[in-house]
Amino acid sequence: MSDKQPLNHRRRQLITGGVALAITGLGASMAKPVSAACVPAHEIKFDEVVDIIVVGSGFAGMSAALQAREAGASVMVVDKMPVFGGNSTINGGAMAVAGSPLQQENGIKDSVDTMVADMLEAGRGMNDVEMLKLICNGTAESCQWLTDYGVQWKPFVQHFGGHSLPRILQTVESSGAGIIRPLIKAAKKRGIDMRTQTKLESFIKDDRGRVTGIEVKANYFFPKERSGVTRRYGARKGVIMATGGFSRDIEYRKMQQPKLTKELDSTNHPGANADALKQMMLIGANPIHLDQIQLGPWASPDEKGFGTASQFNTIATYPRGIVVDARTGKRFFNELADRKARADAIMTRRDDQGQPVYPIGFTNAEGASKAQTLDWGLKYNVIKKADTLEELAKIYGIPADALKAQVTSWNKAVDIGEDSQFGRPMQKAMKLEQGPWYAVRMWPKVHYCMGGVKVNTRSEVLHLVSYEPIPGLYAAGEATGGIHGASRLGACAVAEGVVTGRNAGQICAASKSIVLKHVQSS
Amino acid sequence: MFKTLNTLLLACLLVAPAASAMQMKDYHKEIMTGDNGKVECAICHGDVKRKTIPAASQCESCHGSSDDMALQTARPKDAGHDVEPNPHDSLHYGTDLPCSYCHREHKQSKVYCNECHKFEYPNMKR
Repeated sequence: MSDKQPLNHRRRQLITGGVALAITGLGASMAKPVSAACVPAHEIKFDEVVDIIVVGSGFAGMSAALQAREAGASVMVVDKMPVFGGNSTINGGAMAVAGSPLQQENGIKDSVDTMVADMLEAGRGMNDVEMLKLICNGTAESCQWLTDYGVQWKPFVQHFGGHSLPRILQTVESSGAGIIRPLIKAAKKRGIDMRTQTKLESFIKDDRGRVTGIEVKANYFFPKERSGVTRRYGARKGVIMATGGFSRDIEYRKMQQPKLTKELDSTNHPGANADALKQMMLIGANPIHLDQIQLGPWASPDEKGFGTASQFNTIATYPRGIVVDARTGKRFFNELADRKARADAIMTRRDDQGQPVYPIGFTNAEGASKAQTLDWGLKYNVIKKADTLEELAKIYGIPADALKAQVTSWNKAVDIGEDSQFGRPMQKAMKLEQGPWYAVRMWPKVHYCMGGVKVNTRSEVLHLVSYEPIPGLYAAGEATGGIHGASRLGACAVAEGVVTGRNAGQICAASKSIVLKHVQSS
Repeated sequence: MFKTLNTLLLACLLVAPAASAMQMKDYHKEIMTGDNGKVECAICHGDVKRKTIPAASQCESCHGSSDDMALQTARPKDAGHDVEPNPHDSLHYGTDLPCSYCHREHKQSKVYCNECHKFEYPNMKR
């Protein structure tokens, strides 16, 4: 009792006498948004004003910016990092396209409906179907749009896990840089104001609740929170949030999924945190599916990030090799299942203490012939080479006889064209007959946030309470939630980013401008 | 007497660490030291009171543009995987990354690419 009294007393002080103190405390914890939002509209002055501000410079951001510029809007792109492109420029550069010319050349019959169905199945039915249709319907045209900006694709179609047929196009660089770099070049050429080291701090709204701009830290030096100078940028037409996910925000992702601790590495760039998401939520955005966080099942614990193994596994091991339990030499899952199924399967491989027993994925020289990262992986000892299956078994401590028996039974399955054990699609399956063999140890890494803010098919961010668009606020790409449901299919992030980015850019550019006050900063 | 000493000591502690006390690369220290024997912070940091991390343009006044740097560390045309990628011209970032994200003057330098990669640049002054 006696302990509680001072506490109550203090609380009352805060409520009554200590109002100033309480407000100071609130201001400190919630930082700028409150103060910025409270300034009457006619008093808000901006250091600079453009039609559209795009926050983030990945697939969604660059696509939004260029599309808006094509429509005649003046555009500024801000990114908090020292370089443009976020995760997009370090990703694998693979885009799922329904109905590409390359599919037609190869006699692959695909359709928007088939792609929607595939994404729905992987998403366990949790997906926003209207958004799915928007995206899948836009892939073929957006792919051409990228090609027109100078993106170069490999001359073959790939079959990624979870897709019912081959529909993946990949940049010749095997990297999203093959998309981002041409888009940055085009943006600069077309007069889009491109700024790195510019961090969104909060939104500025007028007294009718419309988002009129952002407060930023210019000259911000990631991750030094005390760096940079405060600036206000106004947007006459709107702010497009293309701010990605929070895979590298260990604390926040753990709140959603306590098992995703710091022991799990991530494929993401260091800036992939929840800061921008939180700012959107503070002005009423509706968070959807935040606990749906994807693990990439093609990563290796023997290197950091996406590394060399991820590309090796997606193009070689998974479609043209097999993955075995290191203790038994036996396959234990469908190597072309969707990412969630594969990551979940891999993470069941643990010893009595619960420690990971890394499964081994491998193929031979023929299977690895298209893996551009093979030589780099060998150089850094992530991918290992063995001339015979005995040698391969020895490197990883696999029982050699069991491994050979598994390879024999796999080859039989390829002959009859059916994987009766795990139901793997066999279109691209290949018999494993001759060495040399190439192998990696595998363990998933945090890769993608299916969750984000709720948007409509006009890419408007919807308010948590009214379900109506928050005026002046748009979002695209990974920053949005609900589109992929429980598991995003491979190569669908590029598709989503480009299609929804362009959608946001187009609609925002067509929206009505408001008049904003502009001050020349001294 | 003690009080005066204490005050003096406190005053010393409160002053921002003098440049001479800060870790610096030898070659930079040599060039940046003026006739008075003091390191001239302003060469990199300018005259502002609150020192910030210098922009790439500061480095460029001696080292040349980012394109010049990229040329200096260019890989031979026929280079294989035994030659590391050009640290100043990245597939992902081109020549965009400001110097100071890898090259640190007052603490150990690090390779930004190695958030994901394992590149070895033995000639880099750490």
